[in-house]
Amino acid sequence: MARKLSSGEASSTEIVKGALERIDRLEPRIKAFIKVEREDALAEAKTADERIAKGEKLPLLGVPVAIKDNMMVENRVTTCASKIMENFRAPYSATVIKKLRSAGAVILGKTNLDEFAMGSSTENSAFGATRNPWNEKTVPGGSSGGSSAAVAAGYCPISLGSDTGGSIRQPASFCGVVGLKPTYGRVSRFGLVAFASSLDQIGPFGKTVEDVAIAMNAIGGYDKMDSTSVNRPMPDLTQSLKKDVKGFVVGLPKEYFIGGVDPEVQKVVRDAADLLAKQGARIEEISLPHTEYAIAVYYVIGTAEASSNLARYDGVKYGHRSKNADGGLEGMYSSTRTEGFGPEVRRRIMLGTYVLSSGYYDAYYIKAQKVRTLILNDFKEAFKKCTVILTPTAPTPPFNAGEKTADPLQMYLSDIFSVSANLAGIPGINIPGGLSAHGLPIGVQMMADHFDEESLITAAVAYERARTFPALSI
Amino acid sequence: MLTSEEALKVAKLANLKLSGDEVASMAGKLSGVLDYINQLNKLDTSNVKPTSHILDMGDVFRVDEVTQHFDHKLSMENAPAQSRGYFSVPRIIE
Repeated sequence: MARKLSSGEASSTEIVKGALERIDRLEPRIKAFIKVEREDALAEAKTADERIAKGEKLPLLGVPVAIKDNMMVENRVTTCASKIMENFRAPYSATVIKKLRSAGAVILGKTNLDEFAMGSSTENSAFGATRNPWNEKTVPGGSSGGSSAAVAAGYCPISLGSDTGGSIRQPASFCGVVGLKPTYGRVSRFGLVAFASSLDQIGPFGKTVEDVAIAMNAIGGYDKMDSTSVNRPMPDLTQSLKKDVKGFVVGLPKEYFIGGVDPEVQKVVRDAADLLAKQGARIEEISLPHTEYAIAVYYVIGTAEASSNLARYDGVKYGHRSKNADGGLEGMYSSTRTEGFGPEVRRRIMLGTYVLSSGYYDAYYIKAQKVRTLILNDFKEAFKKCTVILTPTAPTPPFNAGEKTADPLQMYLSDIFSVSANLAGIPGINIPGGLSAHGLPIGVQMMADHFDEESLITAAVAYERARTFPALSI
Repeated sequence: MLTSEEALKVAKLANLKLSGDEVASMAGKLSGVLDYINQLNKLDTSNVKPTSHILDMGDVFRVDEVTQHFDHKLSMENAPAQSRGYFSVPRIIE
């Protein structure tokens, strides 16, 4: 698209108008957006066209992008899909937004998510659920379901999501698109509303590995405004598209191919291994022995960090404030938070508060941190001989809306293959692999060592080119 | 194994209200998750150091100089209630 814009084949205004028409037609069914910034997007498109006419060359000049509504765009409402932030106007833009704008991108709007990024289905939004463009009875995954669906539905070629326990990769798998979670510290979190600070990362969705590589180039890199940002040069990931997987060692961890995993999912991943082997990679069975404990660790550490990060929503300086005047200041805090937060958010705050509380801190939080070390060591050991690790992204194809909402634990278990990458801080990507017998997308996950997004992109594109995945026409 | 009493204590720490039926329901759902989490006790971690942060970095400092900042007006823009340029809240001191 950037090439077409640059050569004058299409104008940004035409492309954005087309996107808005498509959104008008499909949104009543999909509901990927919380807010479509119609006028602003057209104004930005017009400016982009003027810059293109002047001969300006930027990687994303005039390209429309959608942004998960937990990243701040200055002067626009950022809701985090929560009633507590319903009218919050962002006083500054996230670093990734500034970077996308420097690359010339046009912001189409803010996409739907599970409230405060807590969920795996985008059913926890205070503003309604998003549906999977492949089958509206099913979920798009979560928490970045809106951004994933926006790309799958063809609204825009690139969108941004955030991934704390799989919230980019799992919805990418469910919606049949590419989604990448970078190494922790690779992309600035400045301006991303924090859920779990040691796990959160922003990353791109795209229809192709190439689009994701272009987007990563635009948003990655050191940012002094984020004290967890790493000062390492950002490689040009489009160069990694040109390399091949000859000599790559691809690890298949046996713990990811156990009984509970849907057989159709297992087949797609094993076929992926064969396709990589045909291109010169060596497939090796490996072990990540602490895999089964990852969800437990994640739901201790993630909720503990969340309980701390969400303490700020108290109705004092911004956001919803309860009109209930009982109980003075403390009553205001608890009424505000109870009214403003949805049930899943309240559950996770409760869990996080409990595991950090006096008497339980060692047994839960410190214990979980120790097991996190064991999980990290599993990967360090594996990457001594593997270039990339290949696994399913999700244990099943997309499930039906409402299917997993009764028991929170059932929903949590859908993250079983994705959380380890967040706990270890390593990069991971989903590539669409095939369709289930019911016509629903199944994705393949690859993970690489810290800061080795280059091998990840090379392996991902090698697989993408070798396999066929049907286009969605809606 | 989380009692209703404990649930209420945690709710108070978290500045959340739990009313009537919600107490038992919350205690039940959290108990289910905590039960699952207890499997971590199967592991011997006596010689393992906890990981609080993936990256090997210490404190990150910057020079203490004023660069970008919000003006007063911008800072007050989202205030639910304000008075004479301050955020106003329910009375704290009698």
